[in-house]
Amino acid sequence: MNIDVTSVIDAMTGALRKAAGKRWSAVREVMEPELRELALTIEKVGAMYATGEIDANRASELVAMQRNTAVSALKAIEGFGAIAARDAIAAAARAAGRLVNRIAGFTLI
Amino acid sequence: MRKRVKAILAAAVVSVLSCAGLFVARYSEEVDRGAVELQQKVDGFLTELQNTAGTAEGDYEGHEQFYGEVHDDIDVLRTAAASQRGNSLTLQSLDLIADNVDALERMHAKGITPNEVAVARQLLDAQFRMLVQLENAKKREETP
Repeated sequence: MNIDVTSVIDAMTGALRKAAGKRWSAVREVMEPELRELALTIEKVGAMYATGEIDANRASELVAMQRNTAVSALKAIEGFGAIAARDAIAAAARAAGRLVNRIAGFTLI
Repeated sequence: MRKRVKAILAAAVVSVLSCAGLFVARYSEEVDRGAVELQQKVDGFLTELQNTAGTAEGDYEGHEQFYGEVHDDIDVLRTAAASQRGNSLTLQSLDLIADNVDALERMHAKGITPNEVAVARQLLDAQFRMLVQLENAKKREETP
């Protein structure tokens, strides 16, 4: 069983890019090395199974761990997006606060 | 007078906008530090297990306590994270790490090889790194 790591990385990157949407450029730097690492473990498990070093049961146990790690990546992307949105709103609120204070003529906020 | 009314209305809008912080928890040093410490603890254990797997020293018997301790540490982090609103992603990330620790324990109990430990180590390490990155990303907003 030969696994083409580049194809795996490309497929995972494509899926995560889709999940991240416009936030992809912001999370790319963090996520790409993690995806590469994950793909390497997939290749390693494939090779271990192909050489008979592990049986199908052990392979599926390791794949289940990989699936969990991939979900962790999705959770992180979701979190980065929520944090970016919160920061943008906070920045907008600060800017609006300055404007309000100017209109009020004193420090209202 | 009209200016003052406008300012008060705008202030109300800004106050509502400021509540956005409630939807994402603030940075917690306790969770961040705890996650880094747990990552080091798990990595240290797996480094040792990678060297001893397949020998009597690496047998599951005698290591049950480690898995119990990791679960206790995760519970402490869960409690700290749950004390803040908007921390569901951190809680879910901790649960995913706990699931992988359980999977590792099951494999260890059945017998595990150094190569299998190496894979588990890479995966758990990646999960901890992403959790720590997530916690650190929360920090940015605190420096306007």
